[in-house]
Amino acid sequence: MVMQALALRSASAQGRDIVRVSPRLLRWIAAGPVALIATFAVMGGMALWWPKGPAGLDHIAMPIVLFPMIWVGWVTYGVIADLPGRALGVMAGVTLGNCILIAIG
Amino acid sequence: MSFVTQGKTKRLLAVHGWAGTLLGLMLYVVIFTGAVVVFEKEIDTWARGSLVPEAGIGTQVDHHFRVAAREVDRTFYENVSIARDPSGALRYLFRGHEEGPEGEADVVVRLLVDAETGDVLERWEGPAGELPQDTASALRDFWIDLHVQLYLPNPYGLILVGVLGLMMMFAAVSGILIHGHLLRDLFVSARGRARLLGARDLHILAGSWGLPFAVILAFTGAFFGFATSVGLPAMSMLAFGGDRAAIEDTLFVDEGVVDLAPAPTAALDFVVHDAMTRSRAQVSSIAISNYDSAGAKLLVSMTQSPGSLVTQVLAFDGVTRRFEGVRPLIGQEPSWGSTLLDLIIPLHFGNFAGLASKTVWFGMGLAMAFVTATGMLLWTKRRETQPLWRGFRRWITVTVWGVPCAMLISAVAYFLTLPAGDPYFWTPRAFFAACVVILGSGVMRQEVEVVLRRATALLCVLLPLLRLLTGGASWSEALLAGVPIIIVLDVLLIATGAVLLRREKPRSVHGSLREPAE
Repeated sequence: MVMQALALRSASAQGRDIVRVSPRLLRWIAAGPVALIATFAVMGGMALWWPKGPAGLDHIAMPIVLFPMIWVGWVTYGVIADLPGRALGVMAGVTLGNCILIAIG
Repeated sequence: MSFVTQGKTKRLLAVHGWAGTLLGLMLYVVIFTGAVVVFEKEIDTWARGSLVPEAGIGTQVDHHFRVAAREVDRTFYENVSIARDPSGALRYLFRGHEEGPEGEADVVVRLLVDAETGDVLERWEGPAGELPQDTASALRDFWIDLHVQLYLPNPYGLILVGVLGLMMMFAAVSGILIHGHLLRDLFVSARGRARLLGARDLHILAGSWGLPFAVILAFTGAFFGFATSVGLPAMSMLAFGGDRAAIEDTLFVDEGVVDLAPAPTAALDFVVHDAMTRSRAQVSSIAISNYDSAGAKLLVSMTQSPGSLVTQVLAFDGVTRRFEGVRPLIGQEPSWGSTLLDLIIPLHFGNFAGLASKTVWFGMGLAMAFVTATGMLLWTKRRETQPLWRGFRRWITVTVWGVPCAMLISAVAYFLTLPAGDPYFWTPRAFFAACVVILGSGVMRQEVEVVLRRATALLCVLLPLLRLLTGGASWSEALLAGVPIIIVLDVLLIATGAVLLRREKPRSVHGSLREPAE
């Protein structure tokens, strides 16, 4: 019992260490690959939710034109967010939402 | 006023510095060459010694064009264009399709015609992909290629430069957020070049003033890098199921079914006059789709009209000459996308107010190159106790001085090989050979900066002379022909060389970073 309790405490301490270390890793993931994936997802989704405009092409042209701004926006958010986990969650949520739109549309 | 907390500033600074340092050398090359090719037209005129004042296609084009078109098969009437060749002749380009062993292929007939007499000076016919390049434009084309795609094959070069644009944009945005005292930084004065703070002040000063410009250039540059190489394919995959033709039909005008019954195309001189009256500018080119058919369309591209930021394209019915309106860059109706694209082009090229705006863009481009170089040097200075960073610091100095020097050497190769007719081969090779030598000497010599600065200065002074010796236009010829830009560029080169030679010690941020950090 004592050994099991010690093992559990040790595992719990290791878990805390992982949690303590992970914000930086989470931030890198959020501001790096996830920001890029979110950018492409928003681009694709924009083709469905951005108004087509009188010429019927704004939903195609605007995502391409705004691509750099969307990317910089996500990266900056990933870097300055106080809680990287939350930033990751927001990006994942937006990505998922747009992916669902693309799949349905 | 500070926009972000200390912790956020620290994180932003870390990413700002690392991103800038890791890609900074390539970014410097792109920014420096970009600043130079702001004057791409002027450089081309200067290099080829063209004595034709820049103008449109003129007002008397109809007769000569019709006579020349009669000698071309109707299969090439699908897309026809009339423009002024840099040599001063009129260039007629007839495009059509031909069935070959590998399916349908684009074929071209190109005629160079004397604008005064209508005599055909040169006729070339063959596959569109083999259209011969104008050898006299080799220098301009190489420098543009270096800026646009670092002379790498497509689409890798475009994507890499697009990534650099994104990095620059992040650096600019994070720069805004990092500097809590942006307004104060606009008026900071350098505190002596022998101190780190002096170099840091110069970096902040140039960076603060150049921030709006950096954001504009980075945004538009990233757009140009990604739009065709990543944006269009990604959008066609994500929203059009991979159908590239469908997305192009949406963005660019799909004419639908065209009436190809023979019908004479309207008098071009009338259309030219009508277009000039409407837009108060010269006609730079005419594109005719389905020439001599009932479904013919005329798109008349204008030069910059006074007070206008963008150039116009006017559409006319090809048979009735009826004005159909101003054609947006994409689509048939005005749109947000088209308006933004219309703005992106002049904002990136800085050509909306002639030489005045180009000069501002050139100056700000050099300032951005300076900010990139000083940023990298500051970053490495703080880490110079580590041998790796010390070595990298030397590479920065070698690149900063080596790129202009190698560009000038490529210009020397261009002038020497232009009479032999193969500057497209030698100009880039001379540049990269010079890069190898410069980088090699940078590894072996400590004070290579001084050598590079002197070499750059000497090349600046000698280049106008070499241009003249290899058959370039003399100053008197340029003046008489009304092309003063040749003289202006010669004088600017000589003046730059003289300024660089006058300074015994190199004025560089490297020099200013020798004292310890405060």
